[in-house]
Amino acid sequence: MSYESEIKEKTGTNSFGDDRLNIPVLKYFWQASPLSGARSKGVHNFLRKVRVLDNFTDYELRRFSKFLHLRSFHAGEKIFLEGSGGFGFYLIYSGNVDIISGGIGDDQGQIITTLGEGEYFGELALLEERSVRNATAQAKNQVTLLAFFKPDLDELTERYPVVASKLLRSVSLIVSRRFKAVANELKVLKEKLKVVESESKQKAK
Amino acid sequence: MNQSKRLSNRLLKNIFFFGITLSIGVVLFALPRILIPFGIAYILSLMVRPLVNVFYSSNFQKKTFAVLLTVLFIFAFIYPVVTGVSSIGDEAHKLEFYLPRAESYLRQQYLEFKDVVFQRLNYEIKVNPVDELVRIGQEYTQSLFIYLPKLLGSLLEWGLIIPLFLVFILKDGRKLRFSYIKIIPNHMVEKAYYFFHQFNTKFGDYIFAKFVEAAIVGTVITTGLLIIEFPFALLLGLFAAITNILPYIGPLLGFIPALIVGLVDQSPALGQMTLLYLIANIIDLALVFPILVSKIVNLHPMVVVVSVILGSQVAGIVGMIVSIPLAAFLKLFFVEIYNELYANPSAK
Repeated sequence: MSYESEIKEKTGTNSFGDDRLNIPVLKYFWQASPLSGARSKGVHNFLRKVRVLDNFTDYELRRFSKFLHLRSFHAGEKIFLEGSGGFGFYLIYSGNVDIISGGIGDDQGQIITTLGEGEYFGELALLEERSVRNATAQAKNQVTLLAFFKPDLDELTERYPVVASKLLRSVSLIVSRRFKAVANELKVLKEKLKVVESESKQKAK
Repeated sequence: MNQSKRLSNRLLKNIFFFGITLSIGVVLFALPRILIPFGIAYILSLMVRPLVNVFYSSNFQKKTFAVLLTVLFIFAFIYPVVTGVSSIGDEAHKLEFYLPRAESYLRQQYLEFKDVVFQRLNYEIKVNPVDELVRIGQEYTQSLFIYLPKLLGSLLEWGLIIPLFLVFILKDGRKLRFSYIKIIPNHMVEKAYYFFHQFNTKFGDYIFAKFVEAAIVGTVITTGLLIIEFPFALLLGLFAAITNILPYIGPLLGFIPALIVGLVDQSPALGQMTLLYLIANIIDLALVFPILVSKIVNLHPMVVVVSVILGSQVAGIVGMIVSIPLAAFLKLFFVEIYNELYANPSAK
């Protein structure tokens, strides 16, 4: 049977059902369209670009985004201080953040790294019971952050355990990457130390 | 110039935040007719939180759930008021005729005791605690009968308002909370939110645990008293459940009226009744308290007693109930401040 005759038969027997608009289906296709303006903006779309959240489905990202707090910091404003108690994990939505070590009292401290859009910091606060910040985070310019606090993690775990477990997996991934980086750095430092030691021994001889 | 602008901006944010917080507090405390049902609805919302989470995780429609819960709560509030109050009211009326008997019994016992002391020790007791006890008893009973209709009226009003507040808290509470967090200044948001959460958790869990504990003790005692056909079973069970909220002295306070009733009536079930109270309190102390309450509140007994006394002085029975979780929260708050100031010197 040809496609035309099939259509003709169906229209004849009215097997297409009623011809009312199905709004939810239309809404779905509208939002799914790559040309849709709604997709180019917003927290949800930003989260899709964050690499550590790769394992989240679209639905899970949407759920997770409902638990995030959008907060703005002006240039030079401290996000948190080294040594203070920490209860939040931050994703950089826009702007840059300096991570500073030292900087206690009048000492300006040393910038360890500068993080940009799509990067994150403060993840240990979600894992530790009594987390203490091991560096200061300071806005380099006008910064917008997506904050996720410990109480939000508790609520997410109770309401959407699958999303929470995926988030914790991502946080563990971040921690393991940082651990690997530190381990590599330590390895390099040890090798450098060996070279310095052998050089000093040779000089002594 | 830029720096001073930022400082004034920060100051303005702080003033705005504290102003809003203070205004909410003042409005609520100035309007007790709203504060009390709102407070109860808030506590109920904390209590039903585990249930809400189950519904959320099963993708149940939020609105449907809120409506379902409202209907359930309206029923749960109005049904006991309509049915239970009439039988408790009957017992309360019987109590009105019973009190003079109790009074004469106490007087007679006191005189006998006074005689015995005089005969054996040749000392005459001059103070008369029975008069004082009777005066207090009469005052409380009279005020109970005067305020009972008013209380019933409020209960019916609350029966409608509390579920309504509850629905709004369940449906829009999260949105409100997030909006409030938005106005908290950056430098204090993490800690403020954490403390708010801790307060909610401690408060909700404690009230829920205490409610369950009181219900268990009340049910055991009422059922037991009904079985041994002891008079005023419902009233005594209710009284034991309420006094059970008080730590340490609560169970003893709950037992005193039952003991008086048993002695006045020369009840043959006096021994059984004492055993029943003992069993109910053993169940409470050995099973309910360790499982439900002790994990939530880890306070020194002295702190518990002092906070209950202070709570009763400030806000009566409600103060007594609220004082313990509040003390637990304050402990957490001060420990955190101490750690911030002394334990982490690098933070300064």
